[in-house]
Amino acid sequence: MPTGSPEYDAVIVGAGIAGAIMAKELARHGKRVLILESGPRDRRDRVPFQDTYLKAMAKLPNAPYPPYWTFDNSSGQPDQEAVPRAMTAMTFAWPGLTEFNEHMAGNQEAFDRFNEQSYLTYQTTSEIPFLSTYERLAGGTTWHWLGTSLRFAANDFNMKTVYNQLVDWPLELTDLYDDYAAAEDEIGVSADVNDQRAMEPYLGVQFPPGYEYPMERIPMSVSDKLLGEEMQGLQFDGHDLLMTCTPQGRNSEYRRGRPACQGNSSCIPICPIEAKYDATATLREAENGYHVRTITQAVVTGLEVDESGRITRVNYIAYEGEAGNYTCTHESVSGTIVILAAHAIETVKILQMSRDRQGIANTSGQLGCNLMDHLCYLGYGLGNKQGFPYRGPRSGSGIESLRDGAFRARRSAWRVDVGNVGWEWADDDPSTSLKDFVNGTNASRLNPKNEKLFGQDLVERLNAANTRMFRLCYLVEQEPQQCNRITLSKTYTDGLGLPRPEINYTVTSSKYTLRGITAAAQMTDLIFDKIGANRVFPHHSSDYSKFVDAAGFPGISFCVDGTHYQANLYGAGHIVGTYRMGFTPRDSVVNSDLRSWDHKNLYLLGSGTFPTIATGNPTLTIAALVYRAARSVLRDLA
Amino acid sequence: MPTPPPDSFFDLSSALTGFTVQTLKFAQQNADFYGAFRSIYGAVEFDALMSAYADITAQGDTGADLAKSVLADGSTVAETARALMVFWYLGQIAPGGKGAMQIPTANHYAQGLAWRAVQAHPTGVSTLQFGYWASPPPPLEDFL
Amino acid sequence: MVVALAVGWFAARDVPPPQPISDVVYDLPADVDPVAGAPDLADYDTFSWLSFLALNAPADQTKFSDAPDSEPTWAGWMEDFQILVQDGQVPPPWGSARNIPPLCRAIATEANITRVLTHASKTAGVVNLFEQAQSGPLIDQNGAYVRYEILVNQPMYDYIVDNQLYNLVGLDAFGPIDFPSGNPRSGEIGAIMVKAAWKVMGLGDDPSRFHVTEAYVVDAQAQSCAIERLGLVGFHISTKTVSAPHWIWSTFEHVDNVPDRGTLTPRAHYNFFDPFCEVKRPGQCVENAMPALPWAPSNPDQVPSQVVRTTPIGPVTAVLNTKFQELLREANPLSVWANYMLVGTQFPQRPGDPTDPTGRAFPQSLANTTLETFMQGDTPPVSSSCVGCHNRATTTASAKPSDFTYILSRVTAKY
Repeated sequence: MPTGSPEYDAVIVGAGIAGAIMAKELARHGKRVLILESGPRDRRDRVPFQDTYLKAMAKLPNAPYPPYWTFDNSSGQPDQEAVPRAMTAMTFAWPGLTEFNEHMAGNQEAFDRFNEQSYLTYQTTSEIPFLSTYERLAGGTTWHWLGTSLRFAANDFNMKTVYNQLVDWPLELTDLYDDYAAAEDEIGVSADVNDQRAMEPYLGVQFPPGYEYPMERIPMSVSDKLLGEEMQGLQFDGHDLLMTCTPQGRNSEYRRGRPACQGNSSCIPICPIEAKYDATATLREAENGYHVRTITQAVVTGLEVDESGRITRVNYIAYEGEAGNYTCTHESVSGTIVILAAHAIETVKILQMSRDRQGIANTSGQLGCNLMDHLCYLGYGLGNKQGFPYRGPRSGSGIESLRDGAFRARRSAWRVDVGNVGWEWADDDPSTSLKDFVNGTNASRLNPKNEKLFGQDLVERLNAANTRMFRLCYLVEQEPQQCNRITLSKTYTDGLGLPRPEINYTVTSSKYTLRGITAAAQMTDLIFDKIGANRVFPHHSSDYSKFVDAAGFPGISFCVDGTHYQANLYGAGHIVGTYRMGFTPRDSVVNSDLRSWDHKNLYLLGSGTFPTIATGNPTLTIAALVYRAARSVLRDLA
Repeated sequence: MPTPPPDSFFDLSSALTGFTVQTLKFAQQNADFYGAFRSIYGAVEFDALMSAYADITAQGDTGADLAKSVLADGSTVAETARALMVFWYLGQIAPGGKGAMQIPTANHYAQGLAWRAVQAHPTGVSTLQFGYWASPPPPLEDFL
Repeated sequence: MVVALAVGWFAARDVPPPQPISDVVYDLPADVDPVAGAPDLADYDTFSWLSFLALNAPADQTKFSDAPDSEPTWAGWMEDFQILVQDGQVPPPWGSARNIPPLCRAIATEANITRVLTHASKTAGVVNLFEQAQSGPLIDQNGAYVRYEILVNQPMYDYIVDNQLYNLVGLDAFGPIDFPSGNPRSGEIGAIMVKAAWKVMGLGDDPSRFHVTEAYVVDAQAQSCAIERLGLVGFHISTKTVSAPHWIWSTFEHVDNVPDRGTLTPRAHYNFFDPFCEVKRPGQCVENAMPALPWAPSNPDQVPSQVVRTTPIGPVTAVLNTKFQELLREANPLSVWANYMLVGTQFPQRPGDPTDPTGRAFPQSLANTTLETFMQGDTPPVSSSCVGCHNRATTTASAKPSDFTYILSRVTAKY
């Protein structure tokens, strides 16, 4: 092992939002920083990404970005690719509820067939695939994030104390006020603080006096305003249903060289004009302005540890070329501080691969455990009035008044993301309805008489349906559970010979979570009964508020509180909990500064540190925690 | 540079889709619907559709009557006509009319009529300005 | 308002230029002047060339025939940094010389150098170079960064100054921004913006083929300034007219810039392409790829950009190029201006279309290889479209449309 002083003050693994902000913070203070990024970098100003996205039949979150995988082209194979990752497309390969129960549940051979094709492999005790994905390229998953930038509520940090549920965080909301402000500035959040303060009766105080967001709010869409008006007077679990304009990481003015949002409506998977923040903006600034060095296509294979527990070296494979024909070199670099910011699955993998795959940083036994997501329950239907969706940011409003409340002693909470793109997520519209009206089919359930239309009739029917579509996505808080965990596969490897993750994942083992899902279903009925789903749409009389979609997407079947339910679930892209922070080395992987309890010069960033998934989208809190950790790193380096 | 389509292609397409010839010509300007349909769906089928169209117009039918004849049960070109409608609306087409649908180019998607029919813009491609979403869209006729 | 309903296949039209041009003209056209009916591509391309001739005519009232190269009219226009003042300042009177930055004063010579080049990427600002970069820099065959400048004509400048649009108070107080339009009836000239791309004259460059200038070249990152001799390689003219409230977007390039993709003709020297790149720098010849980071003009060992044109110049435009280049050579066989070509003109086909604030622009995409190097192609809306991008330009915190200019987006003076 080479000796001497480390080559860098800090080596950061991962060039996503956490790694980029950390790099900029450290380099701004004169530190020598290296970033190792496993994936490539965009050198064509988004053009190939956007082109791939527009041509993709399934416009999924991963669609624009390499490595590619589609139904009809399986050439992107996880055993061949240097940087494969979880893909939304693979969740479609998982059988729907009925087929799962008939063919796959617990069946080793069926699981083997699935695992062959999937980067994430599964133990047969899994009842559902992990539904969310991430990206491995410079800029990370912010390439395809929505931009929702909500602060967590005070009680999100104190679930055990307040509701005797889940666990507490080792810090309070007020500890994060300044860091939230710094993150909102770096991301560039557009919001009116008064809109958010209006939630205080429900969420408590979230802002110090005098706080203002960096930019004015993004105006609400016609559709959101209409739904808000139509919902007026409704209550659920004793809370008013209120429509709130969402704080969004997209520009409401020209700022820092990026334009105001133009409403391309494709925030997920790609903002073509970079009005939505992504981490490439911070990364460029760190590199051009503060001399941060980034090596792309550098896959970390493990960390070396000395007798005192300090991380001495970061080992990585530098690769070039195409899948199946890589040129690889084994490299190694040292840093006084080592920071893993490779997202909640890859960070775990790096730690588990270290020390000859015996693993490090796991005195608590919690590493890889407590894998969580916001389980997305979709409620969708038609309104009486035209809201004109498919216009504006993909989501610009939400129902936030049910994110906290006494009900959390019994069931999980949720926020409702109010969609702005019709049934696109739920039903792939307007494609599905158009094909129905042309061909006389009824996949959308909007053409029960199997009519075949053309000309003006076709235009008018398509318009009547699609301009009235509403879609709610409940982000159901999932309980952290030991059984939902990531380990290294002993069977499956990637294109560099590194083990793929093996996952065990269940939902029905938590009544707390399930009751959140059933509450979401009940509120959907309440809303669509009020807004008059389906009473004006021609030639149809059945109920458009659907609890279970057609088979073909992973679902769960369960009995709770004496009632049987079925629900299809989707991922929110919020991968959380796998190296939780906590109060002691026995209960957690990192402390409240995100420092490893076991290795004093090792920091772990990202939503993997969240002890609970809380009720807001995670990116803003990820960024805020980076500022907190950066202060600790700078103290270490002082 | 692709071959300019004959007027009959636009007239037939207009009757089938409900959009004006002018709007179809704007779409064709940025994405070659004519050439791509013929080459991907099949020249034989496409030419049969166009000659069926010629026969019907020779009988004096226009507009909706014409489309009705083309799409009638038992019409040998109805399937081709419906594939052409889906292509105009969504930019999606299956080679030879069978198998998996594909989108030949980004502009075939971006010029799709479905978005205009719902008074919106293709998801991912807007030429509108900040905040447009806070007001209702122009009337449907303006999009046709 | 002229509504152009002639949607077409412009290639199919048999083109000669719409009007016989027997000699180089020196008057700016106020607007497109259609030969018949609604204006079409040939009319707009002719407008572009007439604008190019008028703007590049010698500033001293001499003629193209008098010298191969001379200081053009537009060089005396006001540049963006003169508009982007600090708190409490007022932009200088029209015609004022540019400020020589403190960095450059130490090397200021007797020579009458007035041009200062600060932009190192197309949209890079001076306040923080990297807050502005929505695209990367272009590096020439000698490893030097291409430099850019943005200038406006007097009607546009006066509109900004008279209406106090150079600070946020003024912008907030003012109603919709609507720059004056060129009017063919009155002959009044409207707002015009010019964007120029310059490359340092170096090894392998023949300065007698370029319009050249001497300028202070500022490197804001390295805090340095140098006097360089540079040649014009790219030139945008954006003109607001009655027929084109979305502006007419004309773009020119030096003929030696790059080859068309896949149609390399052996040539001694391209400005931004090396036929032997793979031999000299294996693995570093990805076409139209942004340079590796970090981006800094002072870094040693810059890797030249390997640029090709992905969309060939259309036949209508090519015919006009030959015609006007011949005209310039007839005026002066050594004219440097004959070494420039029109890449294309983007114009609104249906200005009043309520469904499209870009007026159904044609062509959908248009790129100059020196100004939109990395976003060539035809993928909407990421591939370069002049009107598409400038349609996104806003000013003030409420994102008021700035009538297609980013200069007002960059205003920071509070009062």
